[in-house]
Amino acid sequence: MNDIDKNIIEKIKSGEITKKPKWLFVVEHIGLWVLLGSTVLIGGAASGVIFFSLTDHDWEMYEMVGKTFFEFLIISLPYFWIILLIILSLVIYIEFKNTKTGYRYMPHFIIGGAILLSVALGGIGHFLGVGETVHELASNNIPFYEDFIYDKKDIWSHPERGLISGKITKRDEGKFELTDWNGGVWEVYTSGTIWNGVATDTMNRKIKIFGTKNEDSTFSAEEINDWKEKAQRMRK
Amino acid sequence: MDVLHKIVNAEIYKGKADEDLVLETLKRDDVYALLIDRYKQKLARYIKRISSLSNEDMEEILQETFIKAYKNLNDFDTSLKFSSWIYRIAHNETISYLRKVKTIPFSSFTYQEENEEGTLAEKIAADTDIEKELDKKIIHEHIMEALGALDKKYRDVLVLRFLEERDYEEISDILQKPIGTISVLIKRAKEKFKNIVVEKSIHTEL
Repeated sequence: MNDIDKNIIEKIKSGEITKKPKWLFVVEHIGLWVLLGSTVLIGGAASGVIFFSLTDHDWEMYEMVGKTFFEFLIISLPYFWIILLIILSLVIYIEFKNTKTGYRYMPHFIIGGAILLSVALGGIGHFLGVGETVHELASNNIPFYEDFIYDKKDIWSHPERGLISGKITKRDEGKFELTDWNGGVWEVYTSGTIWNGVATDTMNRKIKIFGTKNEDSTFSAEEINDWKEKAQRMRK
Repeated sequence: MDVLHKIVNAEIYKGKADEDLVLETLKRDDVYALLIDRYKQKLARYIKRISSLSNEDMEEILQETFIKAYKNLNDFDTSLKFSSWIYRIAHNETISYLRKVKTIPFSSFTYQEENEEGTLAEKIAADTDIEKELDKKIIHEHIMEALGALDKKYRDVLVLRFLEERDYEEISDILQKPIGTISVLIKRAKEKFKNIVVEKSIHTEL
């Protein structure tokens, strides 16, 4: 053991051992913090979609789709995003622990902090419309995403229960054509129909309709609501 | 010590703090010999205490520790004590070595009694009031077995606290765990140590 210093200094002098350059550590640390920041932002986006899913949902519609409120709650929670948020919080924990002094903090403090930060960012993101945008992007780009989500589109896609929704694609006297979320085309009759709130039969307007399904692809509308407004049922 | 004598003005570095020597080493490589000289005995003893490996294996780990520390010297965080940093590297190198060789099952760990600065047994016994409850002679008969029977995580904190005489913050920096966790580990380690000693003594009496 007495020769250990001699051996090491000789190895250093011969160039066998060299110090790693400072910039390498700087890049490594910056990279880790960038990764950490990006994960927090993705967590914020996930949280934003959770906010959007919970606030945009037509919670009062549970009876209309034949469920109890509890059943409706269970199927309506945005599990995809909740699970993603949990996974991201664990990733944040691992990344934070690998920073220079990250080990000094208790795991529950880091994970709790990550969730709180994500929720705060998600709240701001939701206010700015990020949650809805991310939800739409995911719907259009992530395969099978829709299978994991039970949202307003699912509620308003029950023609047999008198609920349809979609976009107005053609207008006519006393009727219009509605293309639903699955691409199905409905001929909707509007004789005696109540238009609630800001709902009008302008082209490309997204709407949701209470009514009765007739034969083939025709539907008699009783009440029409704008897609973004809370559904009102004026006629009992 | 030969290497040290070759360092020009080695004497002027003698009173300097470890952290200052790190800064000097970044400018001038051979100053590193002073740091090695300061820590080789301490780390050798520490590696033996946590692993019970042979001297040959211990020296291999020790050499790797100093090489790794040198390579990463630019990453040394000056908010840490150098001693905590080098102990951390030694600890991690020891764990990696044990994982690699897989020849030392911790359950059969046999602790070597210390001859210097009081025994670990005496220090823990004094701290846990075991002496008040059991005959001192009986304690010493089972103390080594008790240490060997402890889980590695408990043995590590006891060694750092009572033999290396590190404070909680230093142990936290060495083992890279929060201070709260270190505090809990030490408390539990002392309790488990006490229970094992008491249990073994009762069995002997029966």
